[in-house]
Amino acid sequence: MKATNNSRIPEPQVKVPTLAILQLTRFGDLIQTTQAIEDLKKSHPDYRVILIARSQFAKPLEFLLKRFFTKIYYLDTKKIFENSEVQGLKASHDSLNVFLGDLSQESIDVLINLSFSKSSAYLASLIQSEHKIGTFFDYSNKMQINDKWSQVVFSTVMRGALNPYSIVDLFKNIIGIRSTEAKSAPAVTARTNTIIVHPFASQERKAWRAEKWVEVIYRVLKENDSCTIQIVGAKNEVLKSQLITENPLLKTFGHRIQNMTGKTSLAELSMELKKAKLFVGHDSMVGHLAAVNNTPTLTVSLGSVRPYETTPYHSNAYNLAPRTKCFPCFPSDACSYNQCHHDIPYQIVSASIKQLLEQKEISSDWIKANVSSFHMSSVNFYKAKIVKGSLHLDSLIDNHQDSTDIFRSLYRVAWSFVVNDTEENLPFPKLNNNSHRDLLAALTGLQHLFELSEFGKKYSRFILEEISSQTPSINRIKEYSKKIDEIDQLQALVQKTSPQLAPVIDYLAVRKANLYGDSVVKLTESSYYAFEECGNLCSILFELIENTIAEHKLTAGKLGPQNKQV
Amino acid sequence: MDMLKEDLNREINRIKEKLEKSTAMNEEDLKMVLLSMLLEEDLHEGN
Repeated sequence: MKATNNSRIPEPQVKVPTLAILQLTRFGDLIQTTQAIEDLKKSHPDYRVILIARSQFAKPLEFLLKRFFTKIYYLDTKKIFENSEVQGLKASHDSLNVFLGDLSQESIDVLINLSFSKSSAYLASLIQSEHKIGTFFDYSNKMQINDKWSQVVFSTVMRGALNPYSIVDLFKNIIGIRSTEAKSAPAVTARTNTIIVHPFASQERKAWRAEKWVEVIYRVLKENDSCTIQIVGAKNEVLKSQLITENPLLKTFGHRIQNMTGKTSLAELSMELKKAKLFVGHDSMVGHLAAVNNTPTLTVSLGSVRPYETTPYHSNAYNLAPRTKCFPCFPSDACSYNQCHHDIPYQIVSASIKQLLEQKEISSDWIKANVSSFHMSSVNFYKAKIVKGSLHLDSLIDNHQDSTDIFRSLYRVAWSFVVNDTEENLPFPKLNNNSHRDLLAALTGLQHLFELSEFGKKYSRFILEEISSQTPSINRIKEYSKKIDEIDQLQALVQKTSPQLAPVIDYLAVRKANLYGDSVVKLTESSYYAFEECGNLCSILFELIENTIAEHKLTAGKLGPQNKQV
Repeated sequence: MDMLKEDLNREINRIKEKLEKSTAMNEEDLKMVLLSMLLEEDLHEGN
């Protein structure tokens, strides 16, 4: 007798995880988000990755976004508010409900808010998801940030120039992408001898005046016989573009300048960038679009632009930044003279364009040989490289690293170690008298911070011990909590004497504001770990600074008789 | 737009009062705050 089972046992269905990326900010951020998602798709091609973005920014980029996202949900505010004049709030409310209703059809495993705006945090709180990463509001109107990388972003990017990471790498860290593979070199494509120039930016302080661009374009066209220039920009930049193209100096070169400002869609611009030999401009979405198309980029960073964050994400990127004391500023800082605009001479830009047009690299040696040291005295020149899946900026000028540059490198090592549990190997920074002095001062601040963290751990432990005792005293618990409040205040004071330690202090403040747990015990444990992490950060930074100073002394011949001989 | 602004301001004031009394917000309140933020951002972008 034989029993045969002809019906097949159905294979268990593996649920495809759905990740929702919330990105409500502008074109540049959306392009950089796709660059992060590109790496995610390489490691997890099976994931459903959906995007929630604002129509006005995402629709023009649909040609690019569709390559990386399974589905795009457009938040169309124009539509949401279109009938409000007649119907008031009800129409907008209904329209928002339709949008949220569509989204609720998705079974989202993880919602990742990459925007860091208040509106995105409120939207994140209204989207159903198994897990949430990034900012969102709770029902008591308190902003929650539960993941460490978003906490790092909140405590460094939002508050100063000490963030060592590119925005794309921060996005990758928040999402949890750890690509260590080197980015494959782009295939060599035939390109026309065209330079695409975007001489505008979202704010005046971030862009040179037209006259300076006229000088650059005049020189480039005069010194490079066969090249042509395409000026690109948005519709609202047409008048500004005419100030350049109609300048009498460029009259003889009119046939080699094409003014495309306001005439191309982003898809068309992307195609033009793909064919062009070089992109030159200020920090804007055009540079990021050039990076997506592997077109070499030369960025002139001015005003509040932070080259470490915003350099186009590819290894063919160069960035010129001024050494002006107040650079980079905050958008809210008052500035009437724009000193940083004068600190980058146009001659460096035109000489660099010539070198790049000939498809040669720009190196420290080339700069020394071809650019006057007088012109270079007020400039930083960076070249990007991608190492182990993350962007680094190499300075092409040997002798200039100020304290902020040095602290940025130290933070890169410290954050990677504490938050990602990975090691970054960076060369020892070269110190000068000022940076040496600043590092020594930071050692004292770090010592104070470390001691305060130890006190924080101690009083957190006392609270836990008191709670677990047979007769817990509320008064004693209150007393210890008060001590912890005092410690928080004292740590904030350290920032005044050691401003370079602001990221550590701010990070602890963000961590403390987002303690997890639904009981005093859990919250106190969480507080203990926050202090412990702060202590670890201080120890690592302290050791790095000590080693940097030791290396500096060694190379300066101040240690050991054999070095003195050298 | 003025009508919408007026409606939203009224809602935001109501939510503020609620929070001052330590009463938790609900989903509808969050929607009102979101609409108010989006409107503000849209007006800012328009300028």
